[in-house]
Amino acid sequence: MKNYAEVLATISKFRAKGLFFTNFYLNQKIVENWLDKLCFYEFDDFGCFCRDENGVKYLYFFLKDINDLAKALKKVREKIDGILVYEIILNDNFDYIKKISYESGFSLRLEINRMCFVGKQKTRILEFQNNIEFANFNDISRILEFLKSEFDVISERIPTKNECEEYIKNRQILISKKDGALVGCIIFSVIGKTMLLNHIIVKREFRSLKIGQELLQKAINLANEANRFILWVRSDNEPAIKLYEKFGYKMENLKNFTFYSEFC
Amino acid sequence: MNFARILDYKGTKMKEKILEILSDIRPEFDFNGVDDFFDEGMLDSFDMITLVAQLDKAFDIHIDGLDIVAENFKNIDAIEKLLIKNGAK
Repeated sequence: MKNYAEVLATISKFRAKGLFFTNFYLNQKIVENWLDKLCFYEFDDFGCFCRDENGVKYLYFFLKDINDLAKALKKVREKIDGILVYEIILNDNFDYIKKISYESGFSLRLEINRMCFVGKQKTRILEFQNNIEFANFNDISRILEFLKSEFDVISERIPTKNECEEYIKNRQILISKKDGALVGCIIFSVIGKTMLLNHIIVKREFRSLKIGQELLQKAINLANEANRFILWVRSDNEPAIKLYEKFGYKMENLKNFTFYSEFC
Repeated sequence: MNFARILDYKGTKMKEKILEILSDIRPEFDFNGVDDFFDEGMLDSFDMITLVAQLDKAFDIHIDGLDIVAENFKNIDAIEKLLIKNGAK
């Protein structure tokens, strides 16, 4: 697409047809980076943006309501080749979305839950036992390799090199090293009063050394103006959920599902 | 939801309704007098979609897609202006 105005005009067209149910969560900065990979499809009763990332096609629907999703998924599978992925955030209809996705040939790739702490965070760790430092530009390639080894490239928005540079400039990547090797990393964002934990990861063989807790505590200390702390965690990741609960985070009734289908 | 806070708010009925909807989405924040909800981290892009749907429903309108930009939702005055533009009474 040519520019952000064209994206908005296309959305206007979809909304004029009563297509209000969507999984397209607009963020101008992000969408402007997508423009050359973004196109749209118009069907009789729904619309769909498609972002092509190296052959993986991310779908953003505009439907009358959630009940039209099954039909839309089937029509899209007939029209578009390759690996199709769609992501949706819901606060109900969890079993329904899985049912209609499976019936339409889409498998669940990832299910994550939002957790939240509201208020001023206590300092839970006063003495740090591990080396925790700000990442610098020389660490970027190792950080990206580390993230790609643990997180799913298709469903878990691994930052680009440029995004890492921005995070590093803003002092929002902390790392832990042992004998010069990277063993832990946390990436976070602070937007006004909200701190978002983007990624946290500790190498498996180093996981009993409280590195994760110390990375999180340091990041929270740095976000000292925040009074809302949010993160997304895999629904089945018990150790991570326990760690976050230690810091006062509680599960919210909000889930993000990623479904995918391979069709050639 | 803090009803006392809503009744204290000196504004139009439309502004009161907007504040009620915002407080439903994010009960932990006080949206009164805030210049930019997004800069302050009080709303994100998923919240904006929820907010658009709630505003459409509450005011019986359909906000134009071209108007769904953060600038039009950044504070209560901007939202009120947007609603009037889209036919809300």
